Amino acid sequence: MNPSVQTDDARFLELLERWLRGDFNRSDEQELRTLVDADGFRREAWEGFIVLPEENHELRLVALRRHLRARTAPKRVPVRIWMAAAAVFVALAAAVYFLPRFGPKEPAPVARTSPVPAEQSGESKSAVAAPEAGYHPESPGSSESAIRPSAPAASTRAGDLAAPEERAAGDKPAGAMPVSVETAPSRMADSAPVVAGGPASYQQLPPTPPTLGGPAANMPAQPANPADAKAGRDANQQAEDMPADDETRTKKSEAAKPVAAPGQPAEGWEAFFRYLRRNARLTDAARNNNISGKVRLQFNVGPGGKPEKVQILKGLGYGCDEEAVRLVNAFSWTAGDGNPVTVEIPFVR
Amino acid sequence: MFSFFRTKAFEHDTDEALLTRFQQNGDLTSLSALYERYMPMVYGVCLKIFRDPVKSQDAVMSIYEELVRKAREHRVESFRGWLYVLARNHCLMEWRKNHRHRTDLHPPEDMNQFDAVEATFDVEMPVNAGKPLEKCLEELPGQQRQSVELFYFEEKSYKEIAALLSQEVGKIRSYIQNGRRNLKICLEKAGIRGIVE
Repeated sequence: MNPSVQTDDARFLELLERWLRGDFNRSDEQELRTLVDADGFRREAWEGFIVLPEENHELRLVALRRHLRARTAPKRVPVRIWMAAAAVFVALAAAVYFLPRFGPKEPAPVARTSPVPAEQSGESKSAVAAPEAGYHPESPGSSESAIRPSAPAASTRAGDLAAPEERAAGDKPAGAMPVSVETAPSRMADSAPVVAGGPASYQQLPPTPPTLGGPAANMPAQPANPADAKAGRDANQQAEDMPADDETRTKKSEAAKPVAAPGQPAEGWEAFFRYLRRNARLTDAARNNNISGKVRLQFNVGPGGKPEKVQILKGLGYGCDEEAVRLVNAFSWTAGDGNPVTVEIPFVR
Repeated sequence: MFSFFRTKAFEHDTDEALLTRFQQNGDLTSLSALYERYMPMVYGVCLKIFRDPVKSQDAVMSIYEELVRKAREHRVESFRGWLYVLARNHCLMEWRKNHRHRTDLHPPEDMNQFDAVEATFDVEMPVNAGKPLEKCLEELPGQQRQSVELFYFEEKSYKEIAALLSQEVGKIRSYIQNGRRNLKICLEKAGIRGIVE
């Protein structure tokens, strides 16, 4: 638009305002007249005003302006309300999405005893459905391929197993070395609710005492000594960041000889896959780093139906490996025949 | 000073920028800011046609509604001119609706006569206008005459005149407008058409 028209309009409105207020003299009138003559819109407007010179147009215009703003304003308030509603919805969705990730770790054992627990079916459908949808396409094919009862030479396996143990030992601070052996049982006792607690709570499981008691029996009864217990606790602090599977590796020293049936999930493979679909959840760290995939594990099943010599063939990191070991340990297996069992634990978003 | 004419919000945006914002985002605040700019003028146009402040006030709001509807789809080159036509047509339509069977009233187009009065009068008020002017002035009713003289010869503002005559400003506006009109008619009767013209 022509800028001069804009300034002329502004000046015209200013003069008009002064005319209405009465702060208006002859020279103002002359200026107004020139502006009015120059433009049709202004002229008609001015002619309109002087039709009714007595009328208090000021009040009318103030009222009009108020109406106009009221007409526009209500549009803005609902927008704010909508924004608030959207925020609440997002918060709810986030809560529903994130809650199941903390939930299943406890309900996991329940899921095994009763096939469909009510509280799990009440979970957010998206959270449950996502891993299933991600898993199903590959499960028919991979259910066979994933389980490869591979039988590598025992010597190479021993070599493989020895190496990580040395690595684990090397990771520990030198000062902790002497106590670390004593620590194992106490750590075991600490972590029992998390790791060993799962299998221990199943009555229908093959008796677990051998595995649980195994390390404890190997170690001298140190908790009797308060000083040792304290030292054990110190070492415990340092050993905490050790992955959980180290603990299972320490158990391999007590060579568990295969017994009768080949290592299989106690309730069948289908039950195991169902269990994985319900319980294999990405860790927070993995989720934050955009990690997903599979962890491939190999282990032997001990006489008590407890996995032993758990090895990570292919890891994901970010705590997923430890989680995979935990899941396998928490499941009950039929006693193995010495052949290692290979499983893949899917961690999908 | 409180000003009911000037809008502070969007003051630096051009008409077309505000209109485009409305067309793209449906942002009513920019459209109403734009309309507020021209509201007094639209009101004036309505006044000229209706000669009724209440009807004009209603018309200004319904023109806004029409604007909201039409501005969405119409490609507008010059908003100002477009709005002028829109407002004028709207008021004329309204006016005709109400005056369909009453032929005695003047149609709004006749008001051009009124313009003529305004236009000629403006230039012809030199102090040494001569005898016919003085004669006509004397014929004016008392208040009108006083007001016109104070405004044109002594160059007082409306407020000052209002104080002098102890009247409201609105009254003074009225006196001056009517005084001028009467003066004009009187001068035309005397055979004078625009002394300076």
